[in-house]
Amino acid sequence: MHAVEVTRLADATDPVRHGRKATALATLIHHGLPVPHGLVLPAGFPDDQLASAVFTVLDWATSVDTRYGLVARSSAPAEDGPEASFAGLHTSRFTPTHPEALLAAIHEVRASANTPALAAYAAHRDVRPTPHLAVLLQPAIRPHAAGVLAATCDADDLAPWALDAVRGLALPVVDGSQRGERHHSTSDSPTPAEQDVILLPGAADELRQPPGEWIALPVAHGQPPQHAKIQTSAAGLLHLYAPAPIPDAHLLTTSTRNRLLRLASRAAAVLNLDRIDIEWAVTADDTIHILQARPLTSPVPDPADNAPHGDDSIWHGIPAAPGRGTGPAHHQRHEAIALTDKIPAGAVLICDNIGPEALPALLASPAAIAATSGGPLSHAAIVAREIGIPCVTALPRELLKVTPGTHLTVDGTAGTARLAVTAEEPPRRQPPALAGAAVVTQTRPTSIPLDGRAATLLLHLSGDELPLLRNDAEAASHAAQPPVGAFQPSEEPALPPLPTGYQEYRLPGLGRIAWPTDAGPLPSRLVALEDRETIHERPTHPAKLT
Amino acid sequence: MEPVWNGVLTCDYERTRPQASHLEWDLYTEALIRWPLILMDDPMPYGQLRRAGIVDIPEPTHRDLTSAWHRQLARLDYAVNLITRATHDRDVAGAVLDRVDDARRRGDVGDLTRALAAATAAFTRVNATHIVNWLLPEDHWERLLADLFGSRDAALICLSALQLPAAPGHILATQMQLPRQSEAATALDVEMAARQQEQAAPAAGLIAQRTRAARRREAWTTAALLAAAGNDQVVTEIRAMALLLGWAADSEERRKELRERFLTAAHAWCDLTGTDPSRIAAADLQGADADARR
Repeated sequence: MHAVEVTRLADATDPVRHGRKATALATLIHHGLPVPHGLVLPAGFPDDQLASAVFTVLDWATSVDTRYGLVARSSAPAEDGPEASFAGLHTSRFTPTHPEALLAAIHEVRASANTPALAAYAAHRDVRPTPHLAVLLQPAIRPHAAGVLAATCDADDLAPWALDAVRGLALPVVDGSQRGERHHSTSDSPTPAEQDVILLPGAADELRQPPGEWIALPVAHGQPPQHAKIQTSAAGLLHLYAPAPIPDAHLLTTSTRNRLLRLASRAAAVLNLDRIDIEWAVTADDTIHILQARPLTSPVPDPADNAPHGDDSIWHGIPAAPGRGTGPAHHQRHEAIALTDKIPAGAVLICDNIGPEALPALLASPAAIAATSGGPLSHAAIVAREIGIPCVTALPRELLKVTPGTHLTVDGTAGTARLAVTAEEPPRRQPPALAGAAVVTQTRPTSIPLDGRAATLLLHLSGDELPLLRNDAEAASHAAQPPVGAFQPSEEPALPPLPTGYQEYRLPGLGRIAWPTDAGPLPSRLVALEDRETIHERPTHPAKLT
Repeated sequence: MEPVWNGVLTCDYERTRPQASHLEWDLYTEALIRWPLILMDDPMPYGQLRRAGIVDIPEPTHRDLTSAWHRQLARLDYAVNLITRATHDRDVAGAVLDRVDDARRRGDVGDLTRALAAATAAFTRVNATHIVNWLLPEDHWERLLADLFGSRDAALICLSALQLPAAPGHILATQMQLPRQSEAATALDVEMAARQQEQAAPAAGLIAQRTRAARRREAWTTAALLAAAGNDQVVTEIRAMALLLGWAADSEERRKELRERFLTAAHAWCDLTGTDPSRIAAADLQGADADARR
């Protein structure tokens, strides 16, 4: 039986107590790979000893560079395994080196072992989550660039591989909210990043600055100084509006990229992995740091063919999860994506990004996901691949304007979304059956409606003039056309005086109508049409006024 | 608008309009701080100026003012009044800018200075309506429509259909040359006007598209009213919402036209008076004309 105590990261050797993330990093440290120092609070560390552990951590923090605070990260026994990645399902928190803030961050990371989303994911992957996880604490690194690298490794080679890089911390590319600079083993030149927000751990004085003030960005050696405006700051992190990229400059130089690939190859060999997924960061002095290394649980799709396409109805993005799905478009707002009860079955979810909070939506079996940002290495894209939902990221924002219900086909292998081909479209809505229905309109029909309606009711709003004319009653009784009446969508007040030949009826719960006395029975329902399709209807339960 | 930070919202035109001049930032920040007064006669300022281009708004001030405004926007009489007063403000600004143009043509610097002071005040009132870009209760309207239609998708389609300017946008207008129409213009009005122009105008396709959009707006307004029928309060709110959405879309188009006219006039004044246009502030144009600020 081991004593439960704070452990140096380099001494984290037990996956059950220290979690797979920490033990993998410890292995890399022992083989001389560049991993930041850290401490580990083992799984099962007693709650009542956390407060004293915080002071142990803060004592240790005085011996390392914590200008930008600390980061508390999960390290669970089941995390980062060959069967399931649990990518993005646990929490990481940046925190200043204050006892209360650090304790809160540790609590938050530990609590992420017991969320409904994590339980659902574990059940789907048929793995057993553990109720406790270890917490890894490291100095926060303020990188010039960071990102993720996924690679297949054999004895001599590292290919294929794909690498996404963003300015600042890797969080935006990991959570899928931004599209990184994309490097791929099959391409000589990277695809530029589309990054709106840069995340950086902040120094104490920077974190006191309000939104709108300027922060100096860490820049690579030889690059001009750059500043960025604060969007907001919270929990030790600055959120900065990304300035325009420096023209003709890649975020990651070929030299740095190659060093990173060599490190990945060594890490894969040390960890005995065929496929590896690494989170990394590069500081302004060009030092590379490995922040996480784990088995890659599914291959990364090849990059999309970015050649211009002549067909406007096809949108090109980055293939994030293979397969093809067709369904009605459903726009999913970022904050609502977890609400599975609002997602129509078999829909194509259109969203700006797919972050970890998208997991319930992914488990609700949508036909596919079409996201306008993010990349194939984001956590949710990894999970989408694991559970087989076709997914394309970094699609044009024009897709956000697609009318809900429009049938789309998303090809997660090719990285495309398009209007569904005719064979896959559902039958178009039949012309509405209007027998017994009165069509409510604001405008008198200019020709005789031939859609089978029982009547036309001109919309009358209280306070306005009644839209009926003296001769409407005569026209109404004309056999060749449906009668014309009026509908007021409120029960009070009574209608203004009606032309001869009209009778007023109250429709309980609906309003009042003016109906020609010789027009036969009252309509059984009221219908609003757009371009001959019903967009809304209400049944009527008329009561004649005496 | 930046996210809430330490109980304060920040509106940063320095970021959203990085190429704008000091004068443009002044026009936005002053209009922003005074929108409660201009649009609903509430003298409480909407935040404080941090520096040119940046306004900080305490969250309680934001919450109190916007919730008060949103309550008023649910009333049909207020919606009509708001549209009337905003239209009047635009007319006044247009008339004052006519005076500015006249003084420019005559090369009368004195008259131009006086007219520009009045135009600055008049345009500030018009510019207050730029808040419709983010302060309308769109989330509330979306929920209201989703409840009525039983579908969020239908709610989004409806909102989109209702956000049609009463008159064509300024880009479309240059192609269509259609007569000005009121917010209450029906699809038939639009269609009849379009047909009159159809033979002569080179942009028949644009006219047809706009006609379809007007029909769509009418159909979805009718559908929303039918869905709300029987609940007088909701019917009133839908009527107000339909008016306001059309007005908001229209208002932004017209405001941009007046802004261009105003900035052109301000640059002309700088030319005539040998002033550096990149250094002038709104106060330089308003001069001692204190009345113009009311």
